[in-house]
Amino acid sequence: MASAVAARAKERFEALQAEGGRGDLDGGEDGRLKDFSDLELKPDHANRPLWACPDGSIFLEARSALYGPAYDFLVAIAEPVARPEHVHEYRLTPYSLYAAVSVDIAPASICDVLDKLSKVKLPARIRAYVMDCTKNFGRAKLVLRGNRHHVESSDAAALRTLLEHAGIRGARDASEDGDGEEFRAGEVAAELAANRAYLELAAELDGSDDEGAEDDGAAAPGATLRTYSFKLKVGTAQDVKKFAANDLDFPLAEEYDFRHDLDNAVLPVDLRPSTKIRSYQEKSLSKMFGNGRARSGIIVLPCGAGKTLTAIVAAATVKRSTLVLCTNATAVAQWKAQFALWTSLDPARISLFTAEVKEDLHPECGVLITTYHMVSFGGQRSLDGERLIEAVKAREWGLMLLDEVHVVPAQTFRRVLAVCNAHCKLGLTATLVREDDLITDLNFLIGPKLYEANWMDLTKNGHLANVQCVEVWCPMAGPFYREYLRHGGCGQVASGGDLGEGAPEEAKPRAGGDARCRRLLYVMNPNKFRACEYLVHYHEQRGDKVIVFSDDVFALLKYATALGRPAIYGATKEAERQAVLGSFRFNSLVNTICLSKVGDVAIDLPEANVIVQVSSHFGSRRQEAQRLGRILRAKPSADGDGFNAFFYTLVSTDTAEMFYSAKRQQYLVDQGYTFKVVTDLPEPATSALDTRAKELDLLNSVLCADYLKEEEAEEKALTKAAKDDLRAPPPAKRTQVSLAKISGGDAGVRYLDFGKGGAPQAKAKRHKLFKSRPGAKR
Amino acid sequence: MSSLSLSVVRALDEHSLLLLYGGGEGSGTASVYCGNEWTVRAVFGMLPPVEQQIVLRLATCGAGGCALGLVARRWVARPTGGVFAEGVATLEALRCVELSAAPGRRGRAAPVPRAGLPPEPAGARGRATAEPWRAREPLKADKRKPTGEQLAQWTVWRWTNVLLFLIGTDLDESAVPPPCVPRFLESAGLMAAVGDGGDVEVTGRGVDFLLKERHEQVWALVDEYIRAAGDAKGEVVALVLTLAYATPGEGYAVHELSEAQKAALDVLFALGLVYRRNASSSRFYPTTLGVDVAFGARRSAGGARAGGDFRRPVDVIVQTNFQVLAYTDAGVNTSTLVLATLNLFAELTTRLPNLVVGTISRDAIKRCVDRGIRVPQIVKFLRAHAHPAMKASGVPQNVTDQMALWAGEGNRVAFTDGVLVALDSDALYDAALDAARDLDARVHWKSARKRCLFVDADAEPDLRRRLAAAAAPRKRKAPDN
Repeated sequence: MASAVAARAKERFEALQAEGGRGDLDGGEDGRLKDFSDLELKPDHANRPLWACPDGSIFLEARSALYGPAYDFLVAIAEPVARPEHVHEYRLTPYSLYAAVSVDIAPASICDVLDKLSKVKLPARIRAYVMDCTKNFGRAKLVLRGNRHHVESSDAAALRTLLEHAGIRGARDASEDGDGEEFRAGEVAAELAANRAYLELAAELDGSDDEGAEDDGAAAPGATLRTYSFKLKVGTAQDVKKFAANDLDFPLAEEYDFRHDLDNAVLPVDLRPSTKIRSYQEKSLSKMFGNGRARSGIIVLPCGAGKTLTAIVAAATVKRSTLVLCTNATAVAQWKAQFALWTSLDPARISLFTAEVKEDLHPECGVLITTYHMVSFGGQRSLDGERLIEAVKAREWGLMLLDEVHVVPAQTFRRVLAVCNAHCKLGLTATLVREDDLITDLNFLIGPKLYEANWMDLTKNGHLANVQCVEVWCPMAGPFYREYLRHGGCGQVASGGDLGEGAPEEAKPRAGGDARCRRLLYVMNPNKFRACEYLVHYHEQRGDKVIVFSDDVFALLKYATALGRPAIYGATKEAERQAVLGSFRFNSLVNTICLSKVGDVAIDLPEANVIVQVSSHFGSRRQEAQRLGRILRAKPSADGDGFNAFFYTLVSTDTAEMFYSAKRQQYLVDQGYTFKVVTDLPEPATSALDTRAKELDLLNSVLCADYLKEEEAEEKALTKAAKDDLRAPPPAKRTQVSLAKISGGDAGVRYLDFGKGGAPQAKAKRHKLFKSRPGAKR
Repeated sequence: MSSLSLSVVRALDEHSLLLLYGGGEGSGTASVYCGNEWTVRAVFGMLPPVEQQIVLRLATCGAGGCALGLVARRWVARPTGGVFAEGVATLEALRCVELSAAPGRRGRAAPVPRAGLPPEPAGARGRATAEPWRAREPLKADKRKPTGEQLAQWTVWRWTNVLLFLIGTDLDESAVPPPCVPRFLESAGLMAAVGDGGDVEVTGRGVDFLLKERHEQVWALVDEYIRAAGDAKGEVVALVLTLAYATPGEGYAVHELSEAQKAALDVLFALGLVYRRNASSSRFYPTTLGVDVAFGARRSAGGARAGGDFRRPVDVIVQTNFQVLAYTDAGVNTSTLVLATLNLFAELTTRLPNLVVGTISRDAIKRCVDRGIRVPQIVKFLRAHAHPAMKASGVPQNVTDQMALWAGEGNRVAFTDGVLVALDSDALYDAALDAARDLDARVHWKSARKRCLFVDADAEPDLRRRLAAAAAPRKRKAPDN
């Protein structure tokens, strides 16, 4: 379903882009210049904060007096592209418009307000585009009321359109409704005044407008809107949703009228009086509960800005059974702690469901915290697991909280949604970017993006640490670069790749160079190592807490050993992991830890304020943002240039890493972060790698590295972290023995012949995979 | 910049100087046409105060002059200081002061320039006009005198076209400056051919040029013209200097000028310094730009500059994500110029009625570097056009750093010469390798099969010498065996 809608949305967007591009007049050097200079400039343009271009991009002046309200409006209707200091760029996409409509911003007022805020006359093309995109979006909603789905709309015509579809007509529960043109009439609370601030904004700019006045009336507190609805037969809701989206281009938004839900038990949860909610958290929640109901959708807040608290407040508002899905067991434990910290919920009502812990649901109403993998797992489960998952399926969840929603593949989601029946889904993420296209699916699987905070604004207000981002350029050491080129590295350098005739014969690039080895070479670059050493020593002396990140396990272990600091990676046991993390947090002697990509998400280390990134996952913008998020939690003091956290990326020059690094930073740069490039870091006073001989040793070990083994362990650990009953097949066992031993020629082995029985009988041993199978147990 | 003009005057030869001061070869007509009291006054105005003093005092001493030693003692507080001597030398070079060769070192004001010095009461030597070029019978009443507004607009249009041409913008047929302009641009090193026989494009100097004050730019081209003027130098300089005393927008008769000056008028027209209705018109109208060229805006500061003149046309914001935004509020023409400049080092993506958006990219910076445009010039340009909102923070440091790094990428490879040494025999090859090792010379490449090795050029002579030394005894030995 989602893909069909997504495809249609994409089509619309591309059409707009193409049309926008047609304005080419004189064209830049490459003909990409989009010339909209024939747009009509309004006489009082200086007072208006933005430009709306015919290709759907919007430029907002951050210094405008109307910046605040205009920002709130834009973030509701458009996708932020870049938000640096002076001028922000936004883009109107079908998804952003869908999100806008679903928080009850009428398409007409999108255009009107946009036109009023714009310095140029709103291009007719944009108006048409908005209308086309929102023609059907969000006009009708799927509301679960009294445990029955209703299709509801404020416009009876929309319902008639829907009912023209045979499938939907069939799904209508005619027994109570009748089959005619009449719909049930109802009322819904009008959108919160706070969310309609944009209308005042428009009125401010253009006071005499009648329409504005009328809207102001509608936004009066306590006002209600008239709605029409029809009831659906039990179990047809998903079908109707699919029909509407695929066949009619009429995606239905989902809302949960929890205040009138009398069937489901109330969760006795309240925020502790000490719990304080920040303004942006409140803002994002007001989007969610804007009309007195709970909307499904995604809230985007930077790491460290209190996503968890936001979600917990949402849970405390809905006050129904809540299902929390996280990415791994560590996160599960953290969520539980957060619930205890912020709310007065009885601990007995919180149950966990992970590979290690399986606690039963509270019989009446409670919170279950689990992982995506636990729920979506399709294979054979343990007995406890099986029982618990049945309970999850049977329960009617009021709210589903989806943590780190961007990391989960759409396929997993579909399975999760198939298992769990939730009235309202709230996705949480820091970075709604993926290198693949799967984000768009989330819009339809979960809901539109409800709110996205501006990183820089939060930093300015002290909600986030002020991070100095530094890219350290480390030249490749000669022998390492030679090997790098020999392994085909020159292919990455494009033009510089031609070594030519004069190259030493042994330096000719090897065909099909080994990408993995190349990667290791630039990660293990001795200059990089020394830079890392210097930074670690420097910051430890300052009393900072440092995390060294390396994606590459081989490199991670090398670095950790050489630095003499603890490391955590996939294969590290949970107990050891907790011990290391614990001592990092509370022991003033342990100030540095090395983390592999298991530390990217959901490990909460509020003390850390320095990151040294040694290697990373190619050009992943998301990973960069997530890693930055590890140190974003607001720090008490700011010294130096007002920076109180440091993010170093070490890059080996003249390698593919330079290219990846630029790509990775794009997201953060668009959020307004600046990366300072440092090319001349001092050498550390003492180094574990101080002689050329040691460098060559290192090179040797890199070239002979059996990285496959560690990598395998890492992969396994990563998947295992989220897994439950699925016991990985026992790994192929490798033992080091001599050939003689295998062949039986080992000295000292004697063969004895025992007359009767032939070979000794192996004891029937049950494979552990089957040990815990139901039925096989007893 | 008056000093600029003074240096030009100093560079003139004696003959041209005399022409400039309105004397010369006794030919009465020449003095009327090119040099007159206005040019004298201009040169006097350009002199530093000490020199002005010396000239004035010497002038009052009469034709006989006086002993310089005496002058120095009486007039100057510290006669031993170099100021006085320097001043005298300057004046002599300018032919304002004549020194007698006699041991007394008497100096006197040169007769010709003295005639035009300010303290002489007007009219005392027949200075009949309050303005230059009014010596002959006046023209008939001017019916179609251009208004100040028109003139200002025309000037901006004309001059901007010169700059647009410099930066390589495609211009309309009518807007392309006449061929003399490209010639000056090229000879001034502002434009240069890229590659072999490629198009002429703006150079690093050209970008610097774009950043200069308007009248400095104009002067640079006029200077270029004067340099190339040859024999007519004195007359051209006289024309330019006299222009400074004309009133912008007033009509002046072409027939007051000498032939060389008439030719020069065409060039000044091409640069927008004087306006003429057409090539055969009997009048010319100096523009504000033309009046200012010799001395900058000093003289005409009093309201002569109409609106539509060269205001800063564009405000530029550079953001930390390498985005460049240019607010273009002024007339289309001038903003096009800044945009064309921006286009040199940023890729423009979107153009709105009063805003242009672009991105500073590595490719664009590389292109600039290839043309000899340096990063500091770019930063200077961005600063010069910085939007008020950006004034406090300036161009983001990460952007300037990154630009410098991009630009520096090309400088990482240094070329040193090397020599390929081919040897006749394996024995020699081995000997050469040994020799290279002994000499500590770097062997960059070697091939035993081809019996070749490649060494640094400066190591080669030593290597050869060693080889010869090694080979010689063996050659002698061979017959013995």
